[in-house]
Amino acid sequence: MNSDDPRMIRSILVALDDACSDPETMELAAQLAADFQAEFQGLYVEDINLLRMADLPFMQEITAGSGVARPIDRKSMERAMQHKAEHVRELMERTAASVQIRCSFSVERGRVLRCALAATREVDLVLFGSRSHAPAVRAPLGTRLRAATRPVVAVVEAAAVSARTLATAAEVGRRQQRGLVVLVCGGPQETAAHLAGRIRQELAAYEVHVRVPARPVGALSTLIQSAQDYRAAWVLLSRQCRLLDEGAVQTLLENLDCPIVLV
Amino acid sequence: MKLSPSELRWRCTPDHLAFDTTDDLEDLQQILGQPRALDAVQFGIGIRRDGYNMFVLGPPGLGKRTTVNLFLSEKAATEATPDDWCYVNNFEQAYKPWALRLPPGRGVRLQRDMAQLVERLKTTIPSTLQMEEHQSRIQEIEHEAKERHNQAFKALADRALARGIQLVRTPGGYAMAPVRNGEVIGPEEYEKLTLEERQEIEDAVKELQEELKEVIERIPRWRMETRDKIKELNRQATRLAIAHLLSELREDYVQLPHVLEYFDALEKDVIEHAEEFQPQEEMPANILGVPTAGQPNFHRYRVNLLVDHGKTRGAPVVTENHPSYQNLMGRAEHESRMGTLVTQFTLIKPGALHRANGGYLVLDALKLLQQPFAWEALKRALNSKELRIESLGESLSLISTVTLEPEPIPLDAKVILVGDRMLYYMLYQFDRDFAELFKVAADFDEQMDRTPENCLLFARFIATMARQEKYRPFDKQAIARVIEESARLAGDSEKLSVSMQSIANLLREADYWASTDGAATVTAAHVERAIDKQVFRSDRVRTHVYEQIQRGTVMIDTAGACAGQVNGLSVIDLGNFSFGQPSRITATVRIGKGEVIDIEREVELGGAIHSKGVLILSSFLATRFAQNRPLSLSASLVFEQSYGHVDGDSASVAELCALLSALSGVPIRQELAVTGSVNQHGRVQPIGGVNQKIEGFFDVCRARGLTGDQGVLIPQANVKHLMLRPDVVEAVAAGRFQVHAVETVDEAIALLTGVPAGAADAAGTYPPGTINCLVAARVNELFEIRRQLSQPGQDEAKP
Repeated sequence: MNSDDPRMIRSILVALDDACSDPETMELAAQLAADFQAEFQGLYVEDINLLRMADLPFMQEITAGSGVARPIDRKSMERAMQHKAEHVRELMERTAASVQIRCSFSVERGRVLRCALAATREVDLVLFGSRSHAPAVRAPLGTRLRAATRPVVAVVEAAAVSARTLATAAEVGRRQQRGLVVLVCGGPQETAAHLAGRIRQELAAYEVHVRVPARPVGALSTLIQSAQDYRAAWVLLSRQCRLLDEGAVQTLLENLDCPIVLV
Repeated sequence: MKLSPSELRWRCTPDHLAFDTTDDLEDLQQILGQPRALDAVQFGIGIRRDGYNMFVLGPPGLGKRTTVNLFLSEKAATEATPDDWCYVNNFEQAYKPWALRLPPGRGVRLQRDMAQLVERLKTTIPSTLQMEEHQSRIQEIEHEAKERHNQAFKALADRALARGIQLVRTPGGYAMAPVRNGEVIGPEEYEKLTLEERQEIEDAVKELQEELKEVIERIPRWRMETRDKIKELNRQATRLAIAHLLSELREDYVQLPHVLEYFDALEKDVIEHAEEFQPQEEMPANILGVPTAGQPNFHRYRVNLLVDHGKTRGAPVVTENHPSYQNLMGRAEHESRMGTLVTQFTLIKPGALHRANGGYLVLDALKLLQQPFAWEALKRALNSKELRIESLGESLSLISTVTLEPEPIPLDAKVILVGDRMLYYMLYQFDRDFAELFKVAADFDEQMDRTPENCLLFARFIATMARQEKYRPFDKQAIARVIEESARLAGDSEKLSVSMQSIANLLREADYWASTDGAATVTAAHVERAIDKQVFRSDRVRTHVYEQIQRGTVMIDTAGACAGQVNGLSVIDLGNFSFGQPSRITATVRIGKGEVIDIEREVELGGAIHSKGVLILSSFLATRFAQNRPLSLSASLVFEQSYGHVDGDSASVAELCALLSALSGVPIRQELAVTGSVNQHGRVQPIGGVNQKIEGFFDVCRARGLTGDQGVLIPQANVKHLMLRPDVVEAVAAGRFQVHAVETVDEAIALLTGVPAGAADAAGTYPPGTINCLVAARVNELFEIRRQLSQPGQDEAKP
């Protein structure tokens, strides 16, 4: 893959906020950055909604671990955000060091998705961690789940199949020994079979098991349903995907129990 | 009675030995001269009843251990091989390991089978748990769990949104924030709301927060349920996976119900801890050799083979040379982990009793008693008939650390203690358990009768030993000399010593001297040299003592005559060597109240027996010379130049003679020495060490020159004990030394003074000029003086 290759990834951004800073997403981002020799960036967004909320006189925070309520104000919220930012920065640096790459980290204040999506114009890859409310269920000691059972789901636009999206998804699948499901967004049913052939050919070089369902994805709800049905471990979306906007990312994050990658 | 040379030493005549060398003799298959002990040993080993343990007693060097081992090896070979014993983990109470009994050799198999099982489990269980179906099922459970979480939060979020409240994530958890058009209401906007609207929002937030709390509080329970579901799934899969592995083992051990019970418990534990068989990658198995916490511990499936009789044939015979508490009873060792002492069932080590279980344990009684707590522990085990491994440090509160209480093992072993007689009698006297636990005593004798048959057996014993130890053949003269030495060791010309150690040493050294001569056969000369060299190596003290006598430092006269002074004889025992030492005994007499003062006793250098002898003298004097009136004398007796402890009554004849001489004023010939004890009637009684005593005086006289007048008086009863050195016998034969046997003190005093003792007539009067007459006169004189002094008005005249 040379520098002119459309599949080439030069910069990777991990979008982080209070709802999302899971190490698994961070690790994958770092590994991809190492593989592609890409710039590894972290963006922590201080959610202005939270700060506004903290200004309200009656607000209380219910702690996740214990369910205990405690009053919050702007000062304590800002302090907590700073602490959180520091924490994710350290996590990012440790993760980068583990794969022997450098990283950069910045903090912005605003709406989380808006800031992150704004950043997508300057980077090739944006990763959002899972926002599932469910705490990670720690299986009994020694229970080791086989990674391959949950696939990577890539979503590409039928009109312009993103080679980068496919390549990145295949790379994630290969690295995590997962299968790859490619969902084609839009386009007529009759071209799906043709597209599937093309996609398989595109991914032939990667050692991943590829499935391309014949039925195209027409709506965001269908996409969510399909990803849920496949129990997607990762969902990678091409930015050319017609379904994609700020609200769509928000919906995907809220409904899918996995990290989202915008390519 | 003057003894002839033939009475001074028994000679073993080689002509009576019907062979030339030991090569002509058959091996001796029996134990020499111990019929009583052998009978007891056979009985003790044969009887298999409670309390019939055995104490083999006798002085060292009699072949007690050899005899016991010989009988034990024969008996044990005919008996059944006992079972193996293992300790395995108690999965419910790890500090109480289970004891498993298996037929001989099966312990090793079980150990191997369990090791193989664990290795198989390490591959079978992970592959089972990694199977697609199983993984899929786990993911379903996880998915369900996540769904349940998300559903709960989503439902709450939806309810909240319906009331214009949004569930938001905060750095520390969650919050319920009022929203308008998707944006959280700011404080300015909030202030613009009416009081009712604000109240409504606050009430809604409050209620929703309570609901949120409930959801969060349910999370740990859900998480636990999910974990339990996964665990149960793993259990089911594992149970199925290991069933066939264990069924094979169960078939192999179907005859051993305890082992099957163990398999059941093991199966349960494996199923319970199936996850531990999964490969662990997250952390190293150990750090600096210390197992990391959380790492699987497969040690608990090991088998600690405590006693393996796989290669044992018959019952075991175990000899424990260091019978400490732990070596006897076994122990649970500890290992240090990060500064803490820990133990587990694999660290249980067997004791001698474990190894001897089902057979025999031979112990040195003295060593056993010298070891703290060992004797009590042995008795406890024999009484309870079980082997219980207890930490000594723990029971004495010396250390406080993790310890084990292994299941006791039934004990069925016969214990054989080997020790000296004193120990046996003391235990019998002072230990109330001893008689119950050690009902059989095998008492080994030190000597046997010197009969022609026994002499031949002795010769065969020498031949057997010579062959076993690869000595040169002994010719019959050499054997005769060894047999003579045996009689000498017995201290009795009519007995033979069966001290195998001494005889073995003599044979070994004689063979050595033969080798230095390049001789093919050991001769009498080699035996003689071996004896001489043994003496030479040991007689430094004797040489020193005799030198002191020779130089006059220790004053012993061997010529002339002196009243109230006699040469007594004592024996100095150095353990491996003893010799006779002449001592000057003196007596003084004065007026008194009939007491004979033993100066040794007065200064606490005399023993009780010596004092008894002196008191007998008082009684003799009073009975013979003052039956009808008070004995009005006071006498003092002393061992001159004696600076150590004196005991025994073998000098009482000498002391009495010194007293009679002092009373009669008749001098005693100093070229004679006398030994023997005396009773109240003046009869001379036998003493010990007669040979050494005669030789001691002989050596002193020889150093000064033998005159022919010098000699020793011994009790007649000791004549049979004479086995004097050949040089003494030769001197007597040449008329240069004398040995007299006496039966009464009258004979002794007559020989010592050259004056007849004199026998009393019917009126109790002694012939004039005799010793007794002179003594009676002096006693009478002292009485008269005392009587006069005791008259009224004579007090002032007392000196």
